[in-house]
Amino acid sequence: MNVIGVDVGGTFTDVILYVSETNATRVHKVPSTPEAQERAVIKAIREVLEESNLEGRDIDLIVHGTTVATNAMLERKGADVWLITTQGLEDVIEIGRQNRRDIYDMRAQRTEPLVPRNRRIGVNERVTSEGEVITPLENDEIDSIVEMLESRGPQAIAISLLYSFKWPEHEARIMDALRKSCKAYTVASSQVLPEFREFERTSTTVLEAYLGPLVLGYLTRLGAEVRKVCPKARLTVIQSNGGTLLSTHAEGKAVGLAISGLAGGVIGGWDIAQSASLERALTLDMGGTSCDISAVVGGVTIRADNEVGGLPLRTPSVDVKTIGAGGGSIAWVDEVGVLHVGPQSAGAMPGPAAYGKGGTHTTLTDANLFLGRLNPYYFLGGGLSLDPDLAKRAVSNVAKSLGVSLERAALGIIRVSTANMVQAIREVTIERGYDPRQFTLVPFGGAGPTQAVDIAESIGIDSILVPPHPGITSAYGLVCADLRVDVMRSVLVSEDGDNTDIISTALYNLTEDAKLELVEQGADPPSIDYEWELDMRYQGQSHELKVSIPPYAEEVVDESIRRFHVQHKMAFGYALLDTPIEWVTARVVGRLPHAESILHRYQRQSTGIPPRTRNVILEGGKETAVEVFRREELSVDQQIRGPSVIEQTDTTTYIGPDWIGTQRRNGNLTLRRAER
Amino acid sequence: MIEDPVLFEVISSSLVSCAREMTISLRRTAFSPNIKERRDCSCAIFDRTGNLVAQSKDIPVHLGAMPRSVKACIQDIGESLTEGRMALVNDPFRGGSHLPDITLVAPVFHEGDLVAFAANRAHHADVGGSSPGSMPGLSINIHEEGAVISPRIVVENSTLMREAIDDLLSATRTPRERLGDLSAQMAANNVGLKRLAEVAVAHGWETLLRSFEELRYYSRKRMHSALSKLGKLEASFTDYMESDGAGSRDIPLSARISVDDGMGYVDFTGSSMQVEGNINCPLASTLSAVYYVFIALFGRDIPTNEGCWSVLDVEVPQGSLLNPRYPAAVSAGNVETTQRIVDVILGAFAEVKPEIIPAASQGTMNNLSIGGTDHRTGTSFSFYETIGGGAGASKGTYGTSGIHSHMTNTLNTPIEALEMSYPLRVLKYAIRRNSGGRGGWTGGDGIVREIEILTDGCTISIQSERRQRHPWGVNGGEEAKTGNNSIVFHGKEHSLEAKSTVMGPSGTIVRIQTPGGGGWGPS
Repeated sequence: MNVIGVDVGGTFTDVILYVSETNATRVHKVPSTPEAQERAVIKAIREVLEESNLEGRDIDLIVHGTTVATNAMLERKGADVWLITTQGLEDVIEIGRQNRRDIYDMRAQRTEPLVPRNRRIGVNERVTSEGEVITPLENDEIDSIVEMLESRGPQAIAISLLYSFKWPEHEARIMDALRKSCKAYTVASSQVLPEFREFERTSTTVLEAYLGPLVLGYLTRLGAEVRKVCPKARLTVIQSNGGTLLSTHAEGKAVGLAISGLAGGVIGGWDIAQSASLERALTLDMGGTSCDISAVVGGVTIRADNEVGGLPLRTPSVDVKTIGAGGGSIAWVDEVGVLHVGPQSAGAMPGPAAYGKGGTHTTLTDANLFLGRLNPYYFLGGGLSLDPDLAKRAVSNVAKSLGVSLERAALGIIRVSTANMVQAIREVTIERGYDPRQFTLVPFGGAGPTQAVDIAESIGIDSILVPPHPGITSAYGLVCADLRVDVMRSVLVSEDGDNTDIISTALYNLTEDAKLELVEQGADPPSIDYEWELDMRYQGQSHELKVSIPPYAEEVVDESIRRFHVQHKMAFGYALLDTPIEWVTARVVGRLPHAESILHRYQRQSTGIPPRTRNVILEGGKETAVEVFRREELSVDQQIRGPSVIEQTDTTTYIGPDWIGTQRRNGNLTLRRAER
Repeated sequence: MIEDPVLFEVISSSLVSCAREMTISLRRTAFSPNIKERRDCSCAIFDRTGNLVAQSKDIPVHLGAMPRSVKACIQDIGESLTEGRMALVNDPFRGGSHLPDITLVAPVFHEGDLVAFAANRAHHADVGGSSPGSMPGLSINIHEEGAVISPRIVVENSTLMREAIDDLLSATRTPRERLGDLSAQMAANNVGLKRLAEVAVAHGWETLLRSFEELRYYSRKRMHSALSKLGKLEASFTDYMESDGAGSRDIPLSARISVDDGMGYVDFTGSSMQVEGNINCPLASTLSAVYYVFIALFGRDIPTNEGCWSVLDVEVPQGSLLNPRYPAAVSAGNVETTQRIVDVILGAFAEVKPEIIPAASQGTMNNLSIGGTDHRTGTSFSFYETIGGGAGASKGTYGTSGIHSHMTNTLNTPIEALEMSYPLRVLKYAIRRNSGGRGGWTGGDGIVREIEILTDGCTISIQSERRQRHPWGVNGGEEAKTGNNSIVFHGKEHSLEAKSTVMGPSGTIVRIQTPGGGGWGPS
């Protein structure tokens, strides 16, 4: 299978082409086009095809990581949403759960709801907890809502009625009526999140409506463009949880793409870490705009819920922390005279001052260039030339505001930005009880390896693993991600009922659903692996334990009961053998594992360019001549002592004093702190 | 004193995550909506003498008071609290706060030596007494409020012994739910013991135990330095509880506060003596409210442990409203009077430092209990919840609407969870618009909640405050609207007292309108 992975970052759009027959990869990078992400995506695909002399029709699969949904949430640029809900409960979305995030915060604030009060419509209908209708929904009521909404022409509508997971008919009738007469993106809570707890279900449904028009519009445009270039390719997007989704199946699932763009980096970084047999890795994906950090111990962690820009997400996602720190992060001095770096970024346009595209802000990249860590003629392999004079002028602005030398200002910018990242690392390690010093830092993205040593030193990490192509590791993650489909169904069955057979029926049906979806993504049925899971609890509890059972198990009921008691005892120290058990949700995961590692053995490629020296300003402000290497010139096991610089087309690795770099046979570059 | 600052923080955070995991386990395994949905429970780790080492940030009124429960267990039955055993206590005069709050204490041993305790407190929806919910509107004696349990062993070989809690199980209207919740409390301690042992394995027991000392030293030092920045100040303030449910009204609560040389003093002399009704506040709860205010104002980012309050000196006269003697009724003291203690201390600080002090929040928890027999199943039920209201505004910040403030931080009961568990139906759940006090910064609005009762012969109990005396503003900000309780039957609305217990037939609608928060600064 020939696969293209495309990852859209805030600054660059990265693409990697993998040809299975020859096990060859080719990587490419173009500036992102934030106003219309698809332009850069198509450009990147066209260019990588050209470079590798392949035809578009040779491509079978395109896996895409997108930040369209993430950006809409961060910048609050989603659709204008109207909410239709049960009368009397219009404020559920505003009240939330009544609690405050920090018990000691006397000024606790709540995120402004995505639907203001004047766009919430209460409908006269009521269903009981048993799913029995006590106030029927009248057609007149539906008509008047439709009429009212028609005149307002909303972009999106969320329907969330009480107990819709038990009685979806009321939502369905409103939905049908609206679809007939209204062009708005309309979603119902019984489809988006058919679970109890009205606030969580409603807010997730509203978020789906908020993101849907943007995400679907984008995927539709992209799909059409992709067909022109690669007519046979299936286009899939990576979901927040690392699963894959056919781009044409995204309706009602936009919220699942909330952090699509972050999943690839964690998967890619962890894949690299595994190639070096690491157990604990801190993946640090630092591009032009932001830095995404994840602590991985033994496997990528999926959280059941998450938050983006203060908006709660009730959909599973990769555990990753994002901060505004990248090469384009802007350094500024506040009115008290304190230096800050970020979270604002100069992005790709106008970009850092040194890009010479009219940018006047001082950025991290300008500081790195001034300090000599970056080569003005070999940024992006020479694809973009940097202007040292502009960088120097930018740094001098900061120096003037601070009243210090240029050297101290530039080093200060690095130090402040390092401190920001260290704080994020603390959150994903120390605050979860991990000692960061026991992790290996895996820096990637265009800017990660340039600052990895600074970060490692300030948090006490003494081992760093730089991937073979750090600049495109997220895109790499996309092509090495498994094709994976997660499907679930609510079952709600009790052990003392007589309908326990619906559990195995549900699992078989879900397996079939997962298979069909994966086949549509291009999988061959016999090579699909399945996982069966049941969410179970004791009657009386309202939280479940996830119990895995072997796929196609014979006695699903007995087997899952046995496992549940054991698991409950393991987790909580007791089992309630005389209390009936309930099954709440059946889940199936279908997975097509990517067959082989696409990392290849490292081979030195002589470019004929000998090591040179360049002046670099080290910590303390001393200018020192250091050796500069080309990554591809390094021999296997060659040791490079710091201070030195290793350049490659997609990044620059800075090796600080007291550090030693070694190019490994598997393609990775390891950095270790020397004994002092 | 702190040898390795990074290791110190790793261990400090590990201890907090121990407590946090305990809380998660407790609510994941609990049976009653009050714990599994509203999360009315708290978990913490203590040293071998019962001093707080680390807590999960759950419910303020639980957290500051729990050390006294652990210490009571050590004092009363410390010798028999051996490995594999756990002790239970709820006696307000033996380290408890009010009867529904049951604390389960587990000792931690290392090579035969007692080294620490894991403990948790959960609010049980019924522990017996004169009215369902064990939070009666009118009670004048502790024994009317449910089963009183002094420290005793209830878990042996990691198994909950039913015979040890016979009295509780026969007093409560909902024994099955109690067993489920107590098992969940046991689960939380089990998880705490397991996680603590893992932290010890990772860093060594000796290092871990030394960190207990370091933590206390560190927090004390930081709290001291935060208070030092205030210099010297002194102020006093009086506010009132509007009723005790037994006929007394406008019961004064006075505090004189001073800060000097990094130490804080709070003197409640001048507050009312204990009263006949149930707003008497046990000492542990009183201290808990004082600690809350000082941490919220001066130590939000300091690890919370015994060190934080070692810089505070609190004077509470014996036999007073805030340190009552047996057999005073106390059920509303822990939930209502503690809110007023917070108001009084904030009010005093507002006299001298208004710029850092928020206006009064709703000043009540609006405790609502409904119980009876569910006609669908023929079994007893007991529903309990508190309802959020307006938060007071601060300089530069509007008060948030419909939120739990100060001494509680429970969640709401989701309507769908509430109706699945009880013969009740929620008709209205909305922000009570324009109930917050106006000002340069407006106070938050309260909530309107209407619940219809679907079965005959139910008892409704309400414990609330700020139904007559408005939550005040600061620095010229206006006061907020007071709350309001009523029942509606056959379309007619009947007003209820702030503290009441009434019976209602099927079709009765309970309507609670909660107070707003005060405004800050002139409009």
